[in-house]
Amino acid sequence: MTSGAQVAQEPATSTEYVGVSVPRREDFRFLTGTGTFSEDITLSGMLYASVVRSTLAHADIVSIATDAARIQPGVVAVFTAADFGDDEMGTIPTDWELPIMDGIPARYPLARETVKYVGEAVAVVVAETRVQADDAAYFVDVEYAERPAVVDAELATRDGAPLVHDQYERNTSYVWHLGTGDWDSMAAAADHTVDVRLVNQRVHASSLEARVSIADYQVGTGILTLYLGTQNVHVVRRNLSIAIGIPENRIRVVTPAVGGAFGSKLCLYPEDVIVSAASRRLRRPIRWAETRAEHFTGTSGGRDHIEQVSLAADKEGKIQALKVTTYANLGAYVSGMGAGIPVVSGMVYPGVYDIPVADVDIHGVYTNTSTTETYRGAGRPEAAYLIERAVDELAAKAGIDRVELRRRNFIQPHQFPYSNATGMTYDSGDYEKALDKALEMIGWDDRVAEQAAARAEGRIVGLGLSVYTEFCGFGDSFQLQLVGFDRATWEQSVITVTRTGSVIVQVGIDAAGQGHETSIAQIVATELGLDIDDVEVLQGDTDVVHFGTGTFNSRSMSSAGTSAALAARKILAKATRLAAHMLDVETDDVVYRDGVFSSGPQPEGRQVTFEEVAVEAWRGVDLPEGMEPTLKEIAVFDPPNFTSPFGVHVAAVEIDPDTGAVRIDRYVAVDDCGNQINPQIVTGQIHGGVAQGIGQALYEELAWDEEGQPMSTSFMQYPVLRAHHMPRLETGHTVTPSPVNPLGVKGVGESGAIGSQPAVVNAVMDAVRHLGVDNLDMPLTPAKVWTALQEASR
Amino acid sequence: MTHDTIRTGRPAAAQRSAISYTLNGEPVSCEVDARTLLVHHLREERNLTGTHIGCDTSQCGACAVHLDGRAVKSCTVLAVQVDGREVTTIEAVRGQGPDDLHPVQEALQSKHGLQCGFCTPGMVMTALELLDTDQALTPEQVQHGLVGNICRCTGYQNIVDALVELSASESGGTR
Repeated sequence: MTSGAQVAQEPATSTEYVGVSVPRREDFRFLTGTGTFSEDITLSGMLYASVVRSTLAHADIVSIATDAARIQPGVVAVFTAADFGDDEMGTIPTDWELPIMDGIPARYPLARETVKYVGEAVAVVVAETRVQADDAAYFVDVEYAERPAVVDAELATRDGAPLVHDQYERNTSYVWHLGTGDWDSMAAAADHTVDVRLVNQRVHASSLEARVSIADYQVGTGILTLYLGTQNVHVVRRNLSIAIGIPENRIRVVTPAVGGAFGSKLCLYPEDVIVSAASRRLRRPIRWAETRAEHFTGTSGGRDHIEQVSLAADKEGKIQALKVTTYANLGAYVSGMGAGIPVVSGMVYPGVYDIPVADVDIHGVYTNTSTTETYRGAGRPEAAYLIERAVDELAAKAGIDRVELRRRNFIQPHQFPYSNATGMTYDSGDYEKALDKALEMIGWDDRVAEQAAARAEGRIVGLGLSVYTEFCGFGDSFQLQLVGFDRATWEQSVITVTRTGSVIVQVGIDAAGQGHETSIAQIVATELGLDIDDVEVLQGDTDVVHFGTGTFNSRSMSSAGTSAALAARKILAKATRLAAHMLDVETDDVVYRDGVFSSGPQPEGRQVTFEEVAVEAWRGVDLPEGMEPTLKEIAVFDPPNFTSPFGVHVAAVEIDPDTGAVRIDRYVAVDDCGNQINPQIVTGQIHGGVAQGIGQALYEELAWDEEGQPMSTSFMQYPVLRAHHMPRLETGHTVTPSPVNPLGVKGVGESGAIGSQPAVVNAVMDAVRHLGVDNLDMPLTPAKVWTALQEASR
Repeated sequence: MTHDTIRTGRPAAAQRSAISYTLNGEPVSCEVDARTLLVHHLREERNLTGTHIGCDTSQCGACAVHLDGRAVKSCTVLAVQVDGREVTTIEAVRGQGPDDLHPVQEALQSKHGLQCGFCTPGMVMTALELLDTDQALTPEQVQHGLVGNICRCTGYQNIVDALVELSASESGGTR
């Protein structure tokens, strides 16, 4: 950890911005339609691209006829893979190749011999207008020789399943084992065992802004600029450089406003490379904007795990061992961090429980579907769902109250930092406290009594809870690189104080609606004792911020927030030393508060303002011995470990017996993300996460038929939550600071999506279990619930 | 699925039509392709990029504008259809001064009713119509009034709260 100098014992400001719901500075531009999103950018001489995509899930490309397309009005060029060598359009790198994988299958931006999922790019038409490009794309004629396809990850591992990649003998890319101890002997000695098979279906982030890429290759300088909505300009720069053969210092990646990302805009995508290569060839800027249908078929989704879960417990319900076999669908290729997510998911399978033995096998499997990747929670929703569903089944089978059973198994506060049986270290936690708060908020005992009365009337009601922990703020770097993680874990901030005392903060993260400009300004203004309006936060442009690791894993406050605070402390340390020189006193005697340095306790002492010190630093004429001019500092923070947010979600549901529709009557979420920078933003993140979690629990599924044809290509077939679907969210918080960063923050972007699915499904299961329904898989659509009730009543 | 279903736009001979209409209070006369949607006309031909495209299938409401004072999804309207009519986009929604927010915008900001901001212009345009009533709206009325607008970030609650509160204050609390 980089340590910042501790300058002032007293806070530098009487205006404490941290912990306050400062209004977001981002809001004005979005409310007025003046926020610039990628597709709002028009460059002089810009062309438009339309991508021709595979219509089959698995096929050899026999031929691609482009002549008819080339002669359409406005068409400038039609390209296929044959038009580019590896030096111009090479394979797309991944960011996570597990050491036990037998390499990763080559993924060319434009398919070469075969296509492996519906939606894979096979050609691109470039024309003077978007409409002309789209029109001409119909004239590209691709002849395919169809091959058998496989969609389901478990079926794909069976003997005789169609092979997605000819060079491998099986579709299983890896089997990663986690855990220690002997499951068999624990199970044999157990008083209670449960076995549950769970399907955590494929879902899709489906941010309201789909993806857009604009490439602008300038032949005079040899510099390629790529504008796109991404969570991660620097990783895009690196991977694009590898794919296209332009050195990183001649690639500029810019992400303007991003209309939602949720993990889906984290990797380099084929179209980013296609437009870049085409722009370089044609020497003109090219814009490609995804349609919603392309978004559903080509942009990575998340989850898609099939899990067999077993628990063994003693007479009191103390869980002795956990056994899990997971089939994780990677899709047709390995996208970004896609290969690693199932493994880190397994690392939190034990959840909040002190389980001594774990025996976990994770199968990463190729199928003829689009790729899976990071999606809000990325592994932790799967883990929380798995363990919380299983614990409820154990409680039901053992006849032990589910709240009491959880209490008996909780990791206790004194056990932190706690290393679980699958190799994850949790930084801090107090699960009883969060549980007590959530139960109090919902009035658990009263709700149980009400439920009994309602059931006596024949109503189908249920109460469900989940207690989760997760991991955020990727670290440490050593451990992660051992398992093949090929991103950095550090984050950097550079702070520059201008001649007039205004502050520029350059951070290596890229916001997609989280309000980073506001939150980072809160941190820096507090550290520097300045008005928040004096602090400007810049991100999302590799020419402005030269290095960074990006926004994912709810890491922006714990990593970038910390690095910004540390850089601010360095600034203040230097400014204080200069102020002492100006005041002709010892540095230790200088008192700083609210933009004023004093030679002693204010207001008696002589004073210089922050701005006067900034001027002196800028002039650089009369500086203390050895001091360089200017106030400009960099801090790089590499977290020593993950943080472990946690929380408790409780849902009360009622099911309409005539339709099977689930209505959520009450929803309580108590989340602990450590210290909070901006409580309003924190709660907003919980709201959004819970909405997506409820969406997965009740409505959403990205589905393919057996031939690999996508069945969810618009918001009609993929019903994201609308306003009237939302229950009233009652939110609460406990605060257990993280010990792994000096701000004590844990991260909150994904928690809502982690706690919510198990709470909702456990509530539904509670409603229907006593009616004879022993399992339901998400999404709990009316048809599915109604059918299960009918079958159970036969 | 053929790729016809995964792309917008349909081949058609470009047939141009002259239209005259009022855009954000100013007269506009121009030629448009017969098949050009209002949303594409606004974004690409009038450079009004505050109106967004979220779904291509008239389900998300990111492209909502006002046509003769009523909120419409501008992806369901052809540009030629606005001939002789009045179109208002988010760019014309402001408070008293150019840097002031309209009360609907202020309400959304104070309740943190936006995150990424991509749905926000459409939400504002829809909300303006929804609030065009003397009655104080209930949360259920607002929820159902926003049924055509998808927000993927906020979970809607803060948007609903903002509009319910604003509606109550503008109606003097009568319901």
